[in-house]
Amino acid sequence: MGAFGPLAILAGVTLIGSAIIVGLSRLATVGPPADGCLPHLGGLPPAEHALSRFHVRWYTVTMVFLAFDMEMIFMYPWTLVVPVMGTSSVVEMFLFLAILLSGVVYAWREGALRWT
Amino acid sequence: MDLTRALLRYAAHAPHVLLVPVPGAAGLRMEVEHAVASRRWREATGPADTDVLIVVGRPGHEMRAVIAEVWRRVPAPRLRIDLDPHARPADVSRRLDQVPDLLADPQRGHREAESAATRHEETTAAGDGNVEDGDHNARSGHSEHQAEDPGAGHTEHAGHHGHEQPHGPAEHGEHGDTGHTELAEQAGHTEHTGHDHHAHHHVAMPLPGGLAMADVAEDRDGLALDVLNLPLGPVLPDWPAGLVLDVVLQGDVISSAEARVLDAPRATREDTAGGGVVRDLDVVARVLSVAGWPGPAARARSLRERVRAGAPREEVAGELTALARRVRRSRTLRLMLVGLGRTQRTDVADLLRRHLSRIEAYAGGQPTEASDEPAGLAVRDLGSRLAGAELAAARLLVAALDPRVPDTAEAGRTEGVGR
Amino acid sequence: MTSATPFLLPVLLVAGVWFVAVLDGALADRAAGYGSGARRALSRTGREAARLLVAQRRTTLAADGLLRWAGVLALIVAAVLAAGVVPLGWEAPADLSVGVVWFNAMEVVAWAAVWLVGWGPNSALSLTGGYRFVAQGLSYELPHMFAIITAALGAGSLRMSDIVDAQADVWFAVWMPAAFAAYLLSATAMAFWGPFDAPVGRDVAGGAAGELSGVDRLLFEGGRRLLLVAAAAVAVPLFLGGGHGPWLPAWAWVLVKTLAVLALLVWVRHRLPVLRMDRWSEVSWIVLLPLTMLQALAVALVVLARGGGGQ
Repeated sequence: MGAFGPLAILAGVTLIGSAIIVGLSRLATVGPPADGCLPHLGGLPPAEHALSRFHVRWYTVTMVFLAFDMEMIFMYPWTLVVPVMGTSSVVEMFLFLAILLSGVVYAWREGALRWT
Repeated sequence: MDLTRALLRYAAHAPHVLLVPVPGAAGLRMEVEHAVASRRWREATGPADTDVLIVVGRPGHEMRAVIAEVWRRVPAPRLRIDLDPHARPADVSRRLDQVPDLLADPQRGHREAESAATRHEETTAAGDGNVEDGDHNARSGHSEHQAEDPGAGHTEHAGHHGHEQPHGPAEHGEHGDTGHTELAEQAGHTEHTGHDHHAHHHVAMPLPGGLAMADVAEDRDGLALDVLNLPLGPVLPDWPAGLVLDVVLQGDVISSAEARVLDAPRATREDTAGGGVVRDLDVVARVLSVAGWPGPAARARSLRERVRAGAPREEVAGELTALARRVRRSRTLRLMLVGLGRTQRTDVADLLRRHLSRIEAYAGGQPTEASDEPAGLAVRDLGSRLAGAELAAARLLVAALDPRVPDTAEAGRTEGVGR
Repeated sequence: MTSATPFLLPVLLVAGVWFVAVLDGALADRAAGYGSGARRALSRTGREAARLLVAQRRTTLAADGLLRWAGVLALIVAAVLAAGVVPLGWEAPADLSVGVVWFNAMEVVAWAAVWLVGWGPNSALSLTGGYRFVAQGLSYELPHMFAIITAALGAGSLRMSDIVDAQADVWFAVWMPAAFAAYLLSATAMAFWGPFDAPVGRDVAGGAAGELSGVDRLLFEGGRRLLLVAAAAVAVPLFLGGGHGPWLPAWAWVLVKTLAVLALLVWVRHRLPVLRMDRWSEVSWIVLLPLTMLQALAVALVVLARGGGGQ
């Protein structure tokens, strides 16, 4: 689509701008990059690499979010058809949302939204 | 060169400052904080963000090694200032006034850049082995590991790996499967049941920097997940001086923690903080800063300075009450602190309120009892209080509990394992 | 149509970033109790930028440099592209028929970008910051989507210029206040700004950005403010009537309204402490989400009453 042309130009302009800033900094900087610094935890060295599996305690929120997100995909085109299809579309969509919301309330009562 | 010089000169008037307080120099720390804030210089969040490193007080040799490590990570242009514990405000001012000129010097900048970039060739000042430059090859060893797990892993390793170091790359070397049981034993947590995930990581060469990959252990919900052993060290923003928290972290929850103070025997010397409202304002400022509210935190610090400088009570009373009222009335802060630390037998909100009450009492002219003062927690008890806390909650707990070194000469480590 | 707007937009966005930085510095000094003047705040912003340009870069041990760079650049490009659908005056650089969806898609790229920046340096505290941002995203994204869908619903179209046209009489912010408020909150959260800056907080030594130095930090902080400016800029056609208004030309109104929203967002940063997700999640899911759903229902009913026939 022709409409994406200007967006491609925008992306290109942005990347070129960033490259200019990086180039400027390479000219101006006082020295070559310092490599191999230990990560900062307060001064003492860590015992392991941090690239590990991080325990996200909010994984239940992720699942609820996913359910809702799939529904939002339907809501975007729905906004276009409401004036055309009338009441039935609104009723169906909000019934669907109510079902999902009850899932959220259930998750809340189960304590999934509170992870500390 | 001209561009560098111009930019350096322009930038030198807004440096970011990292303060490293040494235990026992609290008064000087407050003075330096005030001097930095009054020049509108921002405080850095870490060494990557730092231009000026200010060591406040005379560090012992453990602390010196840590500071050398941190200094190694500061990028150029950089400047290090060591302040004598007996420095007077005029000295502090004079040293800080020299900062822009020193930072603006391009030759100095180039030299610092080169010394920062070629840091791997330097040898470490080993201290008492707690601080090692992890860039070095594994040969130089991980003595902090050895210190924490004295006997367990060594005897097994001696047989298998001969000249290889017991930790780090060894498990991921040629001796694949035997690596599993060693990991389990040296971590001292749980047995590996079933398949070990580290089987994927077996390569013939050692891991970079000699650091290991994360081990696996059960967390508070019973899931077997990666474990990181981190020393949350003394050089963190808004952190008690000299405190090191060796935490066992899974995700961002602390499974267990041990607290200690570096250079413990020296740290028992009396802190020249000044008691009473100065300390209350200091604790309140620290809690607010950790809670992410820099405006009132800075306001509390400036009021603390005015009181410390001897401003009469009538002059600051109005602002003190205004600050206390604003912090009390903040519903957002209340939401953030609700139930914080409940499983750790601590109520952060209550501690904050008590400090605020004391501040209001001072402003109102009522006498404040010394017994009324929320006593700082002894460092040796801090570790057990933090077990099971999330990292942000733990930071708030540490800020609110204001741990102090006990008066006895030994301020040793204790284990705080929890669930 | 090849107009100059694709080249004008980045310039305007950078000007917006400058505005944010200056205002933020001035408010920070004032909140601390040291009165400040505009000139000092202006020069401070320049000094901070110069400082980052001239500082030495650094990489950490066994860092994933490629991913970190990808994160920083993705943040900047996503922010600029997200603003690509904003009508500057009456004409946007790219007036997509699905402009609202495009905006949403681009700001979601920021999720991955910030996490990548947190992951790259192989530092435990950086990684914590990156994950904090993902947790934050889960909490604000749904109210955000409901808010922008409500605006699209009010106009019956996903095209930004149609939404602007539908506000010729009355702004959407007037009869969809809950959606507007939810949008402003989510704009702050998406740019991890202000009360939502736990991902780069001081309590984790700078968080996701903690190990960045030199031009990397400059690009990251610039990208973060770019995202804030883009979100504020999109609020104008969605809720504040775009270029509609008396006396001034359309582009001037867009400018004024964007700056007003930006000033509000910068001010909010200094009013509130940081909102941690382990406390805010409940509020967001139990209060904000049903509120935006009710708002959407109300707007749907209005749309039906206004003239949706159908069966």
